[in-house]
Amino acid sequence: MPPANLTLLQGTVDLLILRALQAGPAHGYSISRWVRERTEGALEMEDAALYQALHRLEAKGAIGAEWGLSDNNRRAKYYSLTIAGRQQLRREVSTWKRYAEAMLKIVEA
Amino acid sequence: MRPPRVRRLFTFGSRTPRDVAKDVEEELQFHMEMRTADLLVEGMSEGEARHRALKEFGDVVRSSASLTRQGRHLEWNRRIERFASEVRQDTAYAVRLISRNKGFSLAAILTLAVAIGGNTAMFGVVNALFLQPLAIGAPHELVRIHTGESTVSWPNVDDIRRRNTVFTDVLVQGHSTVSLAAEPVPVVIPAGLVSMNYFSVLAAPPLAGRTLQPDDTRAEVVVLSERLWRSRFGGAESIIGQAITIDGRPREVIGVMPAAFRGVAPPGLARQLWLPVDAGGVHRTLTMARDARRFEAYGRLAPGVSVEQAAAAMRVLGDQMAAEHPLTNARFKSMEVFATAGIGLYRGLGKALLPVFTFIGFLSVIAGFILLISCANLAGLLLGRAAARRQEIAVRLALGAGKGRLMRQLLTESLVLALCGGAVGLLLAMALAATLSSMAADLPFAVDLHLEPDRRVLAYTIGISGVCALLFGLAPARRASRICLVDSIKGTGGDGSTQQRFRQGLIVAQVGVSALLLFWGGLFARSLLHAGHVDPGFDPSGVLLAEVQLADEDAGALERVDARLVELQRRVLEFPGVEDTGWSSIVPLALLGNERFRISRPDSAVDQPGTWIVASRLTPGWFSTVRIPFVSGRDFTWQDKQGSPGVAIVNETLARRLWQGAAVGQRFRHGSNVAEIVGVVHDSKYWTLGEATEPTVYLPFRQTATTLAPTLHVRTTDLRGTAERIRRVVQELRPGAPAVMKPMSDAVAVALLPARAGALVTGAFGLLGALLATLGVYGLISYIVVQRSREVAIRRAIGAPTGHIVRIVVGSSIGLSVAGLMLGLAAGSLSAPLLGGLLVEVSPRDPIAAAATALIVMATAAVASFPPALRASRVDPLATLRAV
Repeated sequence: MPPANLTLLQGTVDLLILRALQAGPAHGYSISRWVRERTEGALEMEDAALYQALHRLEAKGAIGAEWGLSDNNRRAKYYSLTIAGRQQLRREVSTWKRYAEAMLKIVEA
Repeated sequence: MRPPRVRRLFTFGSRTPRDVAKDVEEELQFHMEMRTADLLVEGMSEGEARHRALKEFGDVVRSSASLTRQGRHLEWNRRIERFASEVRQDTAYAVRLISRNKGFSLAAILTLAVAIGGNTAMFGVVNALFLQPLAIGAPHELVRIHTGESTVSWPNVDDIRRRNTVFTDVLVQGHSTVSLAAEPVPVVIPAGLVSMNYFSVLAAPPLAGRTLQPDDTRAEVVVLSERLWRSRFGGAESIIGQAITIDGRPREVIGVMPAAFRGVAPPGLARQLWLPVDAGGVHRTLTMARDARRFEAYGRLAPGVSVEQAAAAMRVLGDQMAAEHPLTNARFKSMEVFATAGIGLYRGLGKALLPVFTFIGFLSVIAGFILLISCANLAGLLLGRAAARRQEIAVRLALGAGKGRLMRQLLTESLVLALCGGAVGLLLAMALAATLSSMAADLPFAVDLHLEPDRRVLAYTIGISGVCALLFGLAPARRASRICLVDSIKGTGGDGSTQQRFRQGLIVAQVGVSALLLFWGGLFARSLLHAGHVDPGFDPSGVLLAEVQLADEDAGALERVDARLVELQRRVLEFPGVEDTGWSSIVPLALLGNERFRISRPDSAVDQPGTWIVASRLTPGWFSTVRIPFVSGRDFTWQDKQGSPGVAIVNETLARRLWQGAAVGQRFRHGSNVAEIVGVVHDSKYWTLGEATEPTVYLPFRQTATTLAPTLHVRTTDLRGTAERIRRVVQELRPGAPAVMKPMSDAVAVALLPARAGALVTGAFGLLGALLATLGVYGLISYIVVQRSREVAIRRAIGAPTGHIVRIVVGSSIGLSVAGLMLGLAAGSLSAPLLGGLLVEVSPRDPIAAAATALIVMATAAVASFPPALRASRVDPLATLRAV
């Protein structure tokens, strides 16, 4: 029986996006696909929420955007991490790790 | 995930809201198509794949809308930031430029300071006169109740107060003068007589102590003005609660009003203390009769009532009151209500103040013209500079600066210059205001203009600076941004013919305006000369004036005044050296006293308007004292008093107007009285030297009850001795009464003030305008000469003599100046309606003033164009031609 799809906890979309962009610039669909692949389908993001988050992060300055040409020569909007974005990613990863460790201790005890 | 190759698409400039929407659409569309493609690869059919992709996304429409909104907001913020940073850049650059060209900038800022300062000063005056609201609570709710005549009696006001339905309360305000005990002699103070509810209805808080309350029972109190409090009592709080002696009686000081409060009155009629009048109290010769018209009435509108509604309601009440008391209230049929803001304050003072207002309007026009000349000057100079900056501008254009951005930057330079000029100008205006205030202290009445800049004046200064910046900066900016790139970078490129015409037009305009200003200055100078020789119709030399308060405050005062008047005149006549004496309620030409009303034939209907006249009330002997000869009939006698048949004397103008000159024996009506004419006198001046003679009526002082304090005129050979003796007699008749003496020639000299002030100011402005125009013409001609240097060089190369060149340049400038001069003089001759009563026997077509103007203008034109012409003639033709 495959594990049920987990609905995303609030506030983690940002972390996913930043992590996804760590490897390099990507457009919105790539990010969505990356998340699905990396978690083997366990995590599903509602795409509307994804784009809201992307635009929000762009407005805040954590990620930058440029219009470019995709592989199949279509005009697409590519996002990339800014310096501020990288700092935010580091912070959120460490926070998330400590949170996860703490939760694990409680749940497995 | 492989990092995709990102090929940048070069997007420049800002995005419109439509772009933002489009981008959002495109991004979401891209996502859909990619997902659909992936699902197709997994084996779904096309329809299924699309449907599935759509479902997975969530609410596309709402997303799209929300994202678009966010995007637009972001874009808007970005635009503002970009604009702000551009403005910062432009301003910094402008400041650098200005500090680099110190000479030019200084000249420009000073020119602007003078122009803007002058205009700001004029606006400050207009502000103080018309725009500043009264220092009371909710001034827009306060209205004047005008009962067909400018003053109203106490019983009538009481009726209005009880019977109206549109006011929360009604107050009265009357004017008087009282004597205040002081060392060494008592002083005369302008006082306000007010109802008990005055201060509470006006909602004016005191500076110290308290004000009158509607339920105050004691009438022996007084409220001081801050000015009096500081000048006479040292601003000491201890005076509150103390008694001071007013008109010989003690009154307790209960409070002090702040300097900004002046009751309901235009600036300049400031009262220095306020005394309550209640129904039982009388003040000096006041009576509470229904026909004793003494006060002004004001009402505060009830909530929700407009001025028009109040006026309508009062008209109805006015008709009722006219029907109830037809003898005294006949005029109540024309009851009016009007707001006390702005012009409303000056109703009833209109005729007397018209020359003042005209003069202020005239000065404002002049100030505006100076502004225009200055801007034209600067425009010319900046045009020259724009040409010199061709290379810098061309490089910027080549680097991609938009024309709009360029113009914005050039205009910013103009704006910074203008604002600096405006700031200095504001300081100049404040200095000017301070000077005017100290000069105004010499006037017979206290003028109290608050000329400190408030936010209206500041806003005006900034606004005017902006307008200036546009006026002088727009043309050069537009010219600069249209520069042809290639020519400019190489340094070649000449002058278009439109540029020539524009510059020539500027010269003509500047010369024209300065010619107009000089012409006006000339007119006023001539007027001043004439004013010194105008025959006033009487002879003030050797006459002493004595302003004496003979009236007491209580009932029965009228008879006592009568007795004292007669007694004083009789005794003064016996002094050594005294030839003649007489009392008069007004002193002609001295701005002391003024009475105007209408008279009509005895048989004409009650409400038919009569003839406007000016009036004076006299005792026998006045005419011979001031040497106004009789044409026919007789002077008043001591028998013409209360109870005797009404008599009057008129001047020639009135006799001619109504009775073809044969006036003795005729009758006329004024108010409710009928008078028979017993004499006709020669015309004489009444209010100003420049006025057309007004029809004048003289009434016997002892016949009509009036509270005007008359002035004793004494023709004597020993002014000083007589003054002393009069003082002693006055002390006997009424101890403690103040008496102010001065020679009549001094008092009448006030009449020359307008002519003098006018000549001074317009003369100064005229010269200033001429100076500015000269500088402007000089600058423009220099520039033109530089532009045409090639042509000049060629002429020289083919052998034209120096004189020839000079003649060409000077000749063209003379030609333009003549054109400007003609225009200016033409405008000047048409300015008759503006100058009307300001000039004394000088017509706006005066040939001497025109000739003088022409002389000055042509001389300055020649002077301005000579140096550039000389420079042009000394140019080395070879060097010039090679350089180009």
